[in-house]
Amino acid sequence: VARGEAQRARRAAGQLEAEILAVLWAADTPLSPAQVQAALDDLAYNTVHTILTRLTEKGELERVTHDGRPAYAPVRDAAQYAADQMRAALDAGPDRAEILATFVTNLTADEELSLRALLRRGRRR
Amino acid sequence: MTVAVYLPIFACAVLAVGSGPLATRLAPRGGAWALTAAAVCTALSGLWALWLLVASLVDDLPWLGGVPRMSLPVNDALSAGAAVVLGWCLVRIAAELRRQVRLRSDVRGLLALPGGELVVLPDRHARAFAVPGRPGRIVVTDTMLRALSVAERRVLLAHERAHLRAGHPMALALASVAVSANPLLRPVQEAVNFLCERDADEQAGAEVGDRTLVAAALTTAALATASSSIGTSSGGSGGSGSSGSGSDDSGESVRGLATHALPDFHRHGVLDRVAAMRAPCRVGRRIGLVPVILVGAAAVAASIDATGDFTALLVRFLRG
Repeated sequence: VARGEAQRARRAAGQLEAEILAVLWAADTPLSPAQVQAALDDLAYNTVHTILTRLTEKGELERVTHDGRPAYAPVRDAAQYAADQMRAALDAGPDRAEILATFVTNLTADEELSLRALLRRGRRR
Repeated sequence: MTVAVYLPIFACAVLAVGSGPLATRLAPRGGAWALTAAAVCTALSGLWALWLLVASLVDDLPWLGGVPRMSLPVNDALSAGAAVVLGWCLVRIAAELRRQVRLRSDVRGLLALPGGELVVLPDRHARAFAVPGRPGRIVVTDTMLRALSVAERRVLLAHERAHLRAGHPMALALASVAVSANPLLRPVQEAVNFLCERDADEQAGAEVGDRTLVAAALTTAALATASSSIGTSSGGSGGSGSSGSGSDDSGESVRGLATHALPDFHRHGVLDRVAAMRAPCRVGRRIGLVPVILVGAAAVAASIDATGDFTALLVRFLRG
């Protein structure tokens, strides 16, 4: 636990911004600061609040009212436009994305089966 | 010149054969850059060797008629063949460079978006990649984020951050150009891609302090990628790309056949990365870099040697 906390302390503000942004994008509804804090479970409420405010000032989040409480949601307009462009660029040809460092490449059918088997074995243990 | 001029091609072949086994044995960071450098060196040497063969046609130039022929160990048919191959290579390189420039302009919009290092795109495909720039950005689709747990997202971010910090996009671009100059180098490019991913995986493992968590994140992300691309195309939104993965039933069976026909195609894929992160941390051997560097250096040395020979012959020829 002590090592984990030390690592958290070293994490730069930019990294925390990215993690909080990811939480809000992955959520189906706007989240309150307390819900964001609960999702990340190892950040102080004040830290979460500060970063949410900063992301809102940058125009990446918007403050809304959800269930009668203040909450935050990602701003989608600019991202939607960029997503459409990106999809067109990537789908223009199979090789276009080759020189982008993608996290995972497409799986073959066999690889997919092996991975699922691996996952099942891991769960049973 | 008799031998040296052909050595670069031989070096390419050696590198291509050796890169497969080396990919899983080399230290990821050093291996990626050593293989990239060797690929670029052998590709350039190969082009230069072709040019020397073409240049040996100089004694056939009509306005030099009447002078005695150069005593080159190369016949004219071979030189003509080399001219065709060289032209074909140059066209391929130009096409590859154009492709990379176009890709850069396509992603410029992503770099210009407001915000910090992370760009999230609403998209039904689960995708994640790093876009190089100043500063580079990490681009992830919301579908990918939803598929991952909080801890796995941390792995994803650390992984892409490592790509940008280590300059991997440059290695990928250089390897891609080297392949366009010499298709023999394709396996080397695949090894470079694999080692860059392995390096980023290890960096992410160090950052989150848990290598098995990286293996779990890779598994989840890979399966999310597979199911999201199949789901989209069965939805029939024509032109959903991702190169043939996911299609109707007949397409699936065709893909299955192709997989069996080419068992090694994805040998250095996600499965190997997952296996590596589940195994205890093994520092790849630096000694393995030596043959890679030697092959690259040999190709360069051979082309310098061949150039010296050719120049000497040319000088003797021009003096008559």
